[in-house]
Amino acid sequence: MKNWITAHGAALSSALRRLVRRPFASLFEIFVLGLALALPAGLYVTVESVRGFANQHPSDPEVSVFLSLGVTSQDVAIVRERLEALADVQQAVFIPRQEAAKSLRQSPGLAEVLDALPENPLPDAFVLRLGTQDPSRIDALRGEVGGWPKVALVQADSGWTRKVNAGVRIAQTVALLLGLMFGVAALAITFNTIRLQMLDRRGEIELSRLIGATDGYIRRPYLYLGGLQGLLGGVVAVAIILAGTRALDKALSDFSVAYGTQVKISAVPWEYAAGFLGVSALLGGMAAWLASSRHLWARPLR
Amino acid sequence: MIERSPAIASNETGSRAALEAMIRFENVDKRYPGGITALQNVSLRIDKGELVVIAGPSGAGKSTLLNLMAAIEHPSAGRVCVNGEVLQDLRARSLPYLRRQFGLVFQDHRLLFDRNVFDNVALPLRIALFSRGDIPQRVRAALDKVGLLGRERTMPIALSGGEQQRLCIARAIVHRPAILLADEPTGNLDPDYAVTIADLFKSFNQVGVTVVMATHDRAVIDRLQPRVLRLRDGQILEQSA
Ligand SMILES: Nc1ncnc2c1ncn2[C@@H]1O[C@H](COP(=O)(O)OP(=O)(O)OP(=O)(O)O)[C@@H](O)[C@H]1O
Ligand SMILES: [Mg+2]
Repeated sequence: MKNWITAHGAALSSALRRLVRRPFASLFEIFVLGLALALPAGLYVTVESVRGFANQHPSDPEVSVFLSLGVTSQDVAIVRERLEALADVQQAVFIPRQEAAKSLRQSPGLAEVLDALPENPLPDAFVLRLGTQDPSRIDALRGEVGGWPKVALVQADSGWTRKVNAGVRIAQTVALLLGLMFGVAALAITFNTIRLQMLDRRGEIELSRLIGATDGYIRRPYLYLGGLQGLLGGVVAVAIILAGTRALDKALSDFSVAYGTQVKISAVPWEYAAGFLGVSALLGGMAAWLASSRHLWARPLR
Repeated sequence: MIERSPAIASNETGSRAALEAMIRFENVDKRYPGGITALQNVSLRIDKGELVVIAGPSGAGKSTLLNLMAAIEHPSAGRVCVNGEVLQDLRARSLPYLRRQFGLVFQDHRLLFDRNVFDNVALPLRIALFSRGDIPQRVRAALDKVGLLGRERTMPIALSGGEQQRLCIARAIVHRPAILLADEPTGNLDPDYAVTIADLFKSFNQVGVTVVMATHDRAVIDRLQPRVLRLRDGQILEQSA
């Protein structure tokens, strides 16, 4: 037990010394590693939140009916009457264009944009709550309402939910493939760092083995070094993802506030972040194990 | 304690002679890749606590003989036994523990030039997982024996050839090995210091360390009065007591 503590304490402090001895190279490697880890992880987080958002909504399919610009209140009343007469429509909520503009105006950047425009570019709209979830009936309804006079566009949630879900599946596959690719890239970065460090110290390694060092003794500081590099790369990646989701969240809320929907990148739960850091550290350790094995096995003890 | 079965006990008495031999070579050949035969049909026996000098002209195979003892090289034919173990039969994972029984003074020193004197000497202790608290005192004791005490922070590059050699000796003795294998340990030392180092090896030998030294330094041989194995062209010419 005491030996174990001695061995691991020495290996850890030696790994830390090796990181600190070449601070700029270490920082650079950690940053590149962080980028390599952040790309697939960030894509994954985005895909997950889009999927979560898409899955919140399909149970109450929503259809937005945008009217042409310049309709009169009489036109609106006619459209409302016709909408409410439809069997599948439970409720038709009118969102006047002034209200849409007002909520858009709440976002600081967009207020100036709206002011700069000669007039309010937003149309009046109805948001329908439907009594059916059957995509074919929703499509039929969209076709019918879309043909009415004064109706510019009908947007059916069921359509975009389907598309979003298909998109999410593709994106998930892409994220997985990217994750594998970048995982291998991260492995390669650490592998190379460790390989070069061991090459740099091959004299010391050879001597140590001649005077009784076990492979474990030789390997240990490099395993810690790889693990530390992976961990710190993971920290950089988490920081990048947090900054990225925050920026994206802001852009999305500016965009979605206009029609009262809520698109939000889900905050990354800390268990996920911790798990991600663990995986990064493990990846680094694995790369170090591979590199050190290659070094040691290429030079047998006798 | 494990109770000993009669079979093991009788086996032990049967090989008592082998156990007391620290190093045995049985018809050992060593050919290097490229076809050079460095040793030919060498048989020898070095007992526990002996002081032996291997002498012979350059290229006779002295270093090769020591490297075979330390399991740095392995024989092309024949058997090498150390402390009752046949080296060829030893599993690779046991090899490091066998090697810790040796103190090695390399002909080319093999110092770490990016480490200071202290770290060079501390290396065998760290490898053997000595506790941190014990290391400084042992390192200083070893440095004291070779006259380098107070030079702990010096880098090896700033040492003279003779000092580097003494540093190498300090590293070989710091973990109090059972066997000292020294390849030309006085090669770079002036005659006075060579005698001092010879006395140092003698003092280790007197406390029970088996010492095997390759040298052609007459002054050292005269001083130590060791058993001398004379090598020429890879063969043992004579063994004198
Ligand atoms: N690694 C090697 N590969 C090939 N040949 C070698 C190797 N090491 C030694 N030899 C050869 O084996 C022979 C014995 O060499 P060795 O180093 O054992 O001699 P030595 O007695 O120690 O000589 P010296 O007094 O010069 O150190 C020499 O002919 C040498 O060229
Ligand atoms: Mg030699």
